[in-house]
Formats: sequence, structure tokens, C-alpha cells
Amino acid sequence: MAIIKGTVKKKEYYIVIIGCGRLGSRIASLLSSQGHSVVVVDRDEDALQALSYEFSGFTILGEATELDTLKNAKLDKADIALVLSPDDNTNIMIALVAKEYFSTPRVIARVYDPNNLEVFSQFGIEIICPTLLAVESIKEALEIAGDES
Amino acid sequence: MPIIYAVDDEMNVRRLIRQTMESEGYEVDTFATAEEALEAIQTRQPDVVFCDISLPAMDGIEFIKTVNDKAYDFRIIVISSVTSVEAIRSAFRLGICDFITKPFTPQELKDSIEKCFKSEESLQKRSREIRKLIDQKKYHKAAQLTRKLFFDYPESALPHLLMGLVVKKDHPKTAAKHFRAAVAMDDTLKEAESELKSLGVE
Repeated sequence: MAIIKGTVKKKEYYIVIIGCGRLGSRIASLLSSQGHSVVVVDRDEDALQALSYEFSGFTILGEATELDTLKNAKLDKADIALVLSPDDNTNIMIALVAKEYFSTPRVIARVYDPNNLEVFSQFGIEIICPTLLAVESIKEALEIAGDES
Repeated sequence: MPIIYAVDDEMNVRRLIRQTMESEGYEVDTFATAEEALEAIQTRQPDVVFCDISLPAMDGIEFIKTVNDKAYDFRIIVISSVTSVEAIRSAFRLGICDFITKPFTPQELKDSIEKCFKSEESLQKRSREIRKLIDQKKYHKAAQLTRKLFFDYPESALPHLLMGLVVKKDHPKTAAKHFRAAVAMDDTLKEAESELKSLGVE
């Protein structure tokens, strides 16, 4: 599985996901169905309740920018933290806390604005940028279309 | 193959315990209620039970009390989202082996079960050594080892019983305090009760 690339291989991982939007909830269901122990943190109760039936992990209702919420999620014991809130600034803050305060071995954050990539990289946080991924996909699609014509 | 029962009304918790423990080679049965678990225990006793405190109908504390009343010989690990000191303390007073808070990591489950098996074995072994020293009247050494036992097993009543036995000859009042503490922590410890009686204290 690509997400655990680079870490010591274990049968199951303890993964904390910050943000239960469309991406967070889907990845949470996927990872829990693969047998990992997953904790999803979100401040919106409706978002947590919208998790699919297949999700077999834990949910924590709370503000992820508060240390106590992250402690309740046992971020100090997590193998991986996925920081997927809809706000870049919030994500960098939580990702930094995960990396520096809780010493989470792998921290992966979503960054919407490609201009913020450098900031995240400076702190050793792995990033997923939907804008750049879309650019790559479109580029690839156009190249394929070009080849076929 | 050691048998594990998991009692939790949350399906995800039952599923995670089953998954983690089966991958460690244990046989696992899960139950959504304490009543179902008690029924299964009557038919077949497990080696360890994972149990939640908040359960529908009979709660986890009642379940543990029922198990204690029937003097079943297996260890209990509480898994709960209740994290108050009082709840944890009252669960330990009932003689549970460990307390894990939710959410838990697979490693926490494995560590806890290992601790349960090892600690029981080690506690009994060390208790036997101390009793031997008491029989040989080597009280100083016995007291030293018992103090270490207090440190390693703060939730167990046994160190109090042993310390009472160590000091009862020279310091009966102190011994009575230890026996009383042992009874308070574990009211099934008949030896501590009879020692109290022999000291003329009820």
C-alpha cells in the first residue's frame, strides 16, 4: 500500500485522520476495511455520522487544533497522521504539532494552494496537493489523447 | 490455544479485538452484552475477557462483580472510553488485570494481554519466594522483596497480605493495617481476613 511506503511494515497501523470530509471519510473507510485501526477526528458531528457502514474505527468529536483532542485521539501512538481539513493553515498547524509534539512517524497533509507546498516541505511534512494532482492527470490525459490521434 | 472473549456493544470494537487477537493466534468470541457473555462463560471459560464498562442492561462493573462472585478463574481487561480516575480505580479494586482507554491501538491490546499473562505468573512466583523467606524467618529480605512488589503491582492486594505476614510478629498493629488494606482491595482474600481475626481484629 503506497501510504505506508517507507515505514517498517506492520500488519496493522494506528492511523489518525483529521477531517471527515469527502476525502477523510473515504480514506477512513478504506483503511479500516483493510484492517487498520483508524481514528477520525472532526468538529462536525454530522460529518462523523455520515461515515459509511463499512467504517469500523473510532470517531472523536472535537476541535483538532486543540491539544486535548489530539491527545484523546492518542496521536502520540499513531503510526500515521493524515491531516485533511479543508484549510491549509489549519493543516500546517496540526501537521506540525503531530510531527514535533507527538513525534508521529509519518505525517501527510493535504494542501490546496500549491504556493504553500514549500512551507510544508520545509518542516518535513509529506503533502498531497489536489491541484497539482489534477494538473498531472490532465497533462497525462492530454498526452494520451495526443498519442492516439 | 488461549481463548479470548470480547464484550462490547460497539461492533467496530468487537471487530478490532477479534482481528488483532486472531492474528496473534488466539481464539476469539465476541458478545454485544454482558448477559450473552455470562451465558457463554457457563459453557466454556475463556482465559481472558476484554470488557467495556458502558454496556446495555448489565454494565461492565456489574459483569465483573458477577464474575468475581462466581469465582471464575480468568483475567479481565477493561476497554472503555470512560477515563475518570474514579472509574479506573473502582475497576482495579475489582481485581481487573488492565485498563485500556478508547480509542486503542492494536499494540495496546497486545501489550495488555501479554502483561496480563506475564504479571499473573510473575506475581504468583514472587509471592511464593516471599512466603518461603517468611517461613525461613528471613523477614528483612522478605520485607525488601515485598516493597518491590508494591511498586510493581500497585493494584494488587497480595503485597499488603505479604507485608502483614512479614511484620505481624514484631508489629501487629502495622500488620493489621496491611491485612485491612488487603481485604479492602480484594474481599475474596480469605487469608487476610483470617489473619485479622487471629490478631484479634475484626
